[in-house]
Amino acid sequence: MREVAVVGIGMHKWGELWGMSIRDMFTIAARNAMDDAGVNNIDSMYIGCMSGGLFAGQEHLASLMADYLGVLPAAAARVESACASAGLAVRQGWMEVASGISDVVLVGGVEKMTDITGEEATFALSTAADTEYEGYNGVTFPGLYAMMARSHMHKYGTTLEQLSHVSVKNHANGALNPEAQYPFPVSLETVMNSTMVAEPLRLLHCSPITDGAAAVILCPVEIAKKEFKDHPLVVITGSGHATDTLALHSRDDFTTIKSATIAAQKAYRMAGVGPEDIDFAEVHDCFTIAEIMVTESIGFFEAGQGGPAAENGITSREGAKPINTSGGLKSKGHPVGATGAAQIIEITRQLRGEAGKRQLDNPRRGLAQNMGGSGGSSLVHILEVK
Amino acid sequence: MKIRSPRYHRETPQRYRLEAAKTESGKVFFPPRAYYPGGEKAEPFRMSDKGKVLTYTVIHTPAAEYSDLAPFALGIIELDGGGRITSQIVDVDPSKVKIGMRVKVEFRRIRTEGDEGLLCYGYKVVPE
Repeated sequence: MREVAVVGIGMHKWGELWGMSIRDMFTIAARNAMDDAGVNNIDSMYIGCMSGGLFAGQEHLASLMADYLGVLPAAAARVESACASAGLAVRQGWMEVASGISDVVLVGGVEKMTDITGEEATFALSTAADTEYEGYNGVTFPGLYAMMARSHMHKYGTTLEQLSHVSVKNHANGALNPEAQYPFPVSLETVMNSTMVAEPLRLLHCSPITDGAAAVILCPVEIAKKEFKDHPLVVITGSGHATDTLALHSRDDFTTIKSATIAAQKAYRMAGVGPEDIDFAEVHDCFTIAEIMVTESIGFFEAGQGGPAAENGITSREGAKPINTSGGLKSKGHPVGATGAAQIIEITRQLRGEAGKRQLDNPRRGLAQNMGGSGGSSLVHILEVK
Repeated sequence: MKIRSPRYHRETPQRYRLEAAKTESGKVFFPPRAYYPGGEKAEPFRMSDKGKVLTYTVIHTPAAEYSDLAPFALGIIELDGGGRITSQIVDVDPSKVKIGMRVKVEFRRIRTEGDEGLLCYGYKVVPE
């Protein structure tokens, strides 16, 4: 198996981009990644997208994007694992490069979410849950994470203030990210008084509806060392992927994300490191409770300690374990099919020393955790600068 | 752009009769699966219509078909003797719902679909 490097990254300013189509966004992000790497062509690509059909009325994205990107007849595939679609695209591309089948592979994702009404988007997102046994009974995604939050609060005494601190922290980080959808700070009071969505979660405990795309170029380390010397060498040293039941009610414990635990264990084993060796991470904070649960599930904190860690600043940029320096899904935005690739971009930027005002002090190893639905799928990647 | 309930819905026993399956090791699967982890065998298992609330929320911003109901309580219910369902918790002030609350499953209308107003049924739980 060949070692795989990240040699190009590209995205664009995320938000409610009424003037841009799904093809416009992906093409811009992908071209930015190709320009960053300095390549004009690719061997193949994987595009994460949760629901081009329900959100934008467009499927068969792989060929469409290959055409508009000017790389026909490159092999291309669209992959789907709900909100973990781009994390899955990264893994598929990593496997293709590692296996020796291709040398230069573009991986990324896109979602166009704001061209339909909020109610329609709520429905489209709910299809990532079990439509027949959850969605049919009226469940929404905020509702699923609200039930997890309620369990976590009941079992560990996690507080609404702790949930809110995650949002305050991620907005503070996102305020320093010019590509974030909501690049401004919010106060604890604002978060705790925002509109109720699904009790106990309020609007500012939830990631937004976002239009956006992100893309990354992968190639073997041996080629990167010879041909891609413009940036510090960033290598994917661990990749893990695991699944769990789609329906939340089928799981033994609602206070942990088992798929994240298993995916992280696989990635740690491959990289030969443990959670204590990770300098910083991007984790899937689709709701603030998700960040708390995931930081526990991947071994950063003991069960029940994710909330206090956020409250005490351990996960802030200045803390011992900075989480979501990009602003996370909360502030940067969450175009569901693109998020996993944007996480890889933030890790790469920090490792290269290109994160601008939110740059950490010389980080060497970062982790990205991307998940689908209420945790029915999870992908973890570990990146190191060599 | 809404997707309607598939036609097989009205033929699904789980929707009306709480039919699950119990494996040799005693784990209850709802609905039954065709295959079980580790190759275990399972027998049909009729779940109890009584149980308790494991966790819950009150939904304020539902999908369109449920907007008339909002805000409504919804929870994960553990039924006596095994098996869990996700269900609306009705006939109770949502602010009175608590973890551990005893509930009973009832046959209820879930939603209407399409311009024709097709009625769709299923289960909801009420205080015991």
